[in-house]
Amino acid sequence: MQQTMAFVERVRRSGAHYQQLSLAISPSLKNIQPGHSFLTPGRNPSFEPYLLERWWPIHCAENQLVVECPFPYDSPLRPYEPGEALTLLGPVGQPLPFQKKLRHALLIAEDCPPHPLRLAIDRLLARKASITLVLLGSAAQYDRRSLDPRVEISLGAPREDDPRHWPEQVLSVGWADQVFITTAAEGQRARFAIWLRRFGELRNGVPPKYLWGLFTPTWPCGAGACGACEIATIDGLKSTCRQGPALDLTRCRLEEA
Amino acid sequence: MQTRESFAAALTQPSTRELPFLRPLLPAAGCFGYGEAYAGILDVSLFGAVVTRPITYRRRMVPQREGATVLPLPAGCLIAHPQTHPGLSSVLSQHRARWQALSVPLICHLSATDLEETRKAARRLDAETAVAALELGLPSTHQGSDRTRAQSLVSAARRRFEKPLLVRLPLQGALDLAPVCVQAGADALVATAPPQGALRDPAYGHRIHGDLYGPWVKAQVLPLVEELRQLVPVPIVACGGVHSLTDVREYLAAGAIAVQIDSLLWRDPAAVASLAEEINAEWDDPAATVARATLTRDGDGSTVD
Repeated sequence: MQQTMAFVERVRRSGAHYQQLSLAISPSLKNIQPGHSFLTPGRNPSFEPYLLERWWPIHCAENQLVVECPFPYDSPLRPYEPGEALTLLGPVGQPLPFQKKLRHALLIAEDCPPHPLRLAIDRLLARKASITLVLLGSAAQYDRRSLDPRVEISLGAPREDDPRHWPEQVLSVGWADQVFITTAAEGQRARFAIWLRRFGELRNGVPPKYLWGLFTPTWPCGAGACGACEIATIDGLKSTCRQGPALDLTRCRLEEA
Repeated sequence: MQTRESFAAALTQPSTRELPFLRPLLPAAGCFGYGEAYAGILDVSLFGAVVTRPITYRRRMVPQREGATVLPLPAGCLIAHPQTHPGLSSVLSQHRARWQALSVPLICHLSATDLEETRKAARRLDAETAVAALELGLPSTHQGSDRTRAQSLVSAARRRFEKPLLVRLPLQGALDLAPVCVQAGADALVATAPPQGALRDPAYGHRIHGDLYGPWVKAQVLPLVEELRQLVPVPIVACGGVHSLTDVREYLAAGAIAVQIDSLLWRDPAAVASLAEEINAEWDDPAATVARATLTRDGDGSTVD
């Protein structure tokens, strides 16, 4: 992790609530991987807001990073503009642990934008893997126009007995070599406990290193220093910012949630 | 008058237990991991010592519905830490080698939970060559201070720990507890642990108690440092709300022997590095040291610039 400066090169509106920023980044930020994120105080030099905002890269190239950052266009705040300088703390976290022979990936976003999974889509497509992206709850409102057409997108079709249902659920779960789930931060451990149980039912048991949850609580430091994001696992306490965000759900002590 | 040389010896009561400690800034317990968290971002030699995250003797895995909670505040935040700890044995096996390689002394922060655990942990840490000093964190409560309990905990640690013993006071009740802790054998006091507060969790509606962080904490701790300086004959390490060079200078002018930095480390590690470089440069300049000591002697700690 480093603390570096970045410059806004280009700004695009992405839906009603996001801005897509192309950032010129320090050459020292090499090898940004899916799973990595950046913390930024934004452009406000004061301590308000105090907690850092987390940005997930959605594309990256040499010395350039594209992020989608929240921006409510109906607010009186001024949107980002080209030329602005920002401080980035990162990359935070570990790369998503893709299997070497991953051919079919199932990515699920529940009640949150699929930002933590966007860079994974780029990288997996480059590896010629096939991808199904399931958007559940408020994630279905995500502006899908910027997604690669090769990604198969499924929208949630909740049923009374299964509010997390989507069309051809059994097929896509059975077909997936690995699953990565991102959810809203509120009640995340309880949500992942439900997902673990659900996948156990759908597959008759969940093998290790198959079902990964992306833990995304607020990270005050992003360095594993504050202990505010630790999760109890069979292997001991894990900082989701330092050892995550992806943790094998079969190793997490979710029942304590 | 305090000089750079006397400072090195004065973190703890001279002649009994000394800590070679030549920089006035330290990371606060719980803000710097176990010394590894900011590797590659911050050079630990900028600090006088490294203070570890709070450690408990036994491993604790307390079931919590949602683990830690972080809630924003105006210019600050509240963090409700889950009371989960890996335990002393696990921490030592994982970090001992790194601690031995540190270029600055290591101060181990021990959460004073109960007497027996405090005793056992103190004895174990005393035998660790990588540990230069112990910072005993007294429990923070909303109900105020428990002098008898504090005295027992500090005595328990003191009897088993021969090296310098610092005691971190809770903000609530610090003035009550300070003389008791010194009497029980504390070599220095850390003022203070983060203040406690409560907010309503917007997601669930229930009230969450936790530690408060932000620049405004300094306004609570600064007068306390001045009072403690008059009240007890041991060195005071100030801790709380340091976000600028002025904050550090004001704490030193108020009589603190060193200053711990907490959440600024998370918010802006580069700011901490430049702040440390500046204060270290001032510290290394004998003229500046004399000026600071003069301000302290005159009791004018309000403006140092």
